[in-house]
Amino acid sequence: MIEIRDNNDVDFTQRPNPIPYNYRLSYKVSQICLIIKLSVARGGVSMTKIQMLASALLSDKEAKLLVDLTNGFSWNYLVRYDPTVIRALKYALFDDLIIQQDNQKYRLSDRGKEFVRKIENDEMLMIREKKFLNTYSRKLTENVIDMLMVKWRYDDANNK
Amino acid sequence: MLIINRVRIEIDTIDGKYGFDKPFDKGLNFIVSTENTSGKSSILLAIYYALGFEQLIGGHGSKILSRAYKKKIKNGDVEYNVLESGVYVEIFNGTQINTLYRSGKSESRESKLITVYQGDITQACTNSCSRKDYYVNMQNSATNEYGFHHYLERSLGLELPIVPQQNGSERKLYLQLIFSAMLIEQKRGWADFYSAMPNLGVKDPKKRVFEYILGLEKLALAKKKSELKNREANLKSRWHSLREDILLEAKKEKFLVVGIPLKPEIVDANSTKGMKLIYAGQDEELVEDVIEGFSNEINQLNILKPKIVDNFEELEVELRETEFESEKMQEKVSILNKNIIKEQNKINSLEYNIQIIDNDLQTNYDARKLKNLGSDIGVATMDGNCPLCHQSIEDSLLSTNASYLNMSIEDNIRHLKAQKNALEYTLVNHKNNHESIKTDLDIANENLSILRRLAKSLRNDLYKVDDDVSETLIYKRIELEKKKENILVLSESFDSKKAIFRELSDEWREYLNDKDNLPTDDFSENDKDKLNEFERNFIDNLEMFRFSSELEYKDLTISPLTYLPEMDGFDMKFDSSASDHIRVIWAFTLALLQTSLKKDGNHPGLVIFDEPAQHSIVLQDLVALFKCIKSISSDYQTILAITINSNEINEVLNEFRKEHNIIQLDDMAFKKIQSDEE
Repeated sequence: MIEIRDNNDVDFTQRPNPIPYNYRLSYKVSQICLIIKLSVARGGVSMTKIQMLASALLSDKEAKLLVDLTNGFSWNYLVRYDPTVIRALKYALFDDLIIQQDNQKYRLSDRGKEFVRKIENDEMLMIREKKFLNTYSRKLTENVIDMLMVKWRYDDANNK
Repeated sequence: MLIINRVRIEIDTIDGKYGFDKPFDKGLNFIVSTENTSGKSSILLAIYYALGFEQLIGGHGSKILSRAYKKKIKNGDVEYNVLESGVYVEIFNGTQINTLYRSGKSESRESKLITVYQGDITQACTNSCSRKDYYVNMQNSATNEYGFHHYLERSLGLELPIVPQQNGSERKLYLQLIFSAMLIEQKRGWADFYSAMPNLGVKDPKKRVFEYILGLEKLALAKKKSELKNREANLKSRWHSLREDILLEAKKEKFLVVGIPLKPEIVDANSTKGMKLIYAGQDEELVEDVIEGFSNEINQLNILKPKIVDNFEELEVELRETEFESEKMQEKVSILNKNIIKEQNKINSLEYNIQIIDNDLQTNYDARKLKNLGSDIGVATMDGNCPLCHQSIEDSLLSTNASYLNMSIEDNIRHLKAQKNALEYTLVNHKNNHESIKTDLDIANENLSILRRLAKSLRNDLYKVDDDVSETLIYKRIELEKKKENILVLSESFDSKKAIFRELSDEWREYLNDKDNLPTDDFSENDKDKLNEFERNFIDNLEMFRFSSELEYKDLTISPLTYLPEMDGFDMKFDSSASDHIRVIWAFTLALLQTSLKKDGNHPGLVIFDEPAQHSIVLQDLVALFKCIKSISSDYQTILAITINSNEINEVLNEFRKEHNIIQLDDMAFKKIQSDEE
């Protein structure tokens, strides 16, 4: 906002910037915890999977790509490694909400489990996310992700 | 009317029953003692307590009771433990005697309970009359059927007004607030007007209490004003929508409406004649003329033989014209179609955006909750701290530049809501546009199809055998009949709407009349009269009590804004000595009673002064106070608690002893009671 004073100087008044919810630290950390919990994977959850599910929650369009992939309709899928997700992962890691296993995959710590339990208990909280993740975070197995990556190699070789 | 007939206090000890039991009279009552610590206030406490007004003392329940009710009681040099205690207060409401019982210390009875006996104390003690339990100072005890103050309100015949609360809602005025203006307690009561008034969430309680006691119509007036405002808005909107309806109906048949005012007005038979339907053509004919014109045209067509004679050329000219018209109409339709698609697109995109914002809002609400959940279990990032270095961090995953300020979640929610409002506003506008274009388009499409059908008939006629029936003529006739029918319907509906306008106008006239009947300022004539009377009483009282600050009594006024005495527009407290201040409170409290008695106000008729001789009031003034109270008519009750600290007071009291009830307390107020059975 610009105010013009008598002496003809121009003053700029700083206003706070809005932050889209997807770039809220608190929201993203919670989302990651929820993704790991609802994946119900015994061997932990890989970073790629977290990235894919987080992308799917960005918009309906992104969600449809993932749905097609998990239903086996299309292998036409590009994994986007979102730096903000990586940053949120780091915060969650150091905040002792999640633990990185020796196989590089992630699982929830006790504190993380307690946190997710609280989120799950509140039925009015993160309704959209829970609905989507309940179905697709289980369908998107690590196997599917591995196959996707193998396909990249073939495609890469074919292109050369 | 509320008169205390008798007070009985019972305190059970191992030594037997102790207590106090004395009757009270109508009019003036004294409770006197030679020493200050002999329990006058304890007796007054019993009255407060039994009426459920302990908040005026400054506490809840039995906490306000003195030591004698709860711990130990003295008899000579021996102290006994108090086992149980309770107070009976016999009240008279003008028609009926009831007794209130409330326990002070008791293992078995809640102190929130007050038992009401339908009889005097003797009957109550022997349990020989019907009784009912009420609760007090709990939620809804002022409005619930089993609330004591609800009972008391009905029993005293008070009708408490509904008053605005601080939080914007409305509630009944509380009895406690009203009685804070007439029960002047020893410790807090002498500090200021209504100084014992508890805060119960009522907005401007002092003003409301004053208005209620004197029975001012101001509150009712304010209600009436807001009601009138609602009526005005309602009438305006009904007028407006009726006008819109008729305009739209007329537009469909290509008519204009004139003579209907934009806003409600008083319309009489003459001005309804001015309301006209006019054909939106070149000549601006009236609807009657148009209908007549159509009838004539139809008749002419009937006269014409529906045969094609040698009018080939005419037909050709007509066809050309019709085709030209239809071309023009086609152009119009296509422009309208373009516009409507544009509007529809805008509406779609706005609705999509609003949906996104809704989603955003929901997620922001979620984020706010998540943050609380997280910080509950001690997650550092949710508290705005870095989990590693414990410095404060922004709640953002974007690369943070320290010189940028980021919105907090609260701000963000507000920001989104504002955006949503803006979008919704635009959406409404576009929807309105869409609606109006659509009506235009419907009309244009209809006209187009009429023109096309006409052209088709004309073309058919051109290629027909000469003796055939002319399709054009028949078609024209049918169209004309249809149009005439529609216009007749419109004209009828217009007439019926005119009648509704007349009705609305009558309501408007009534509204204007009611509005003019209201006084322009906030006080009705009656109210002004009452305020003047109060002011006069107040000043007379002051003069009688020898208010001594160097003031002219004539400069004193009662402020119409606060209803408190003012001197040259300032609170008179600032310019008076301590003893004067006591006189002012005497004068004010009594003036309330005097004015209410004279002007038919709502004063319950009970005044209690505990130790009115504060701050070195001289004896002469105290006598003036007694005389002043005595001079007020006897349909009320005053209880004065006084310490006799000089012989002069004693002599004065002796004069009053003949006519008035004086309860003399010796060294202790609570004595051993001889049990009734003995």
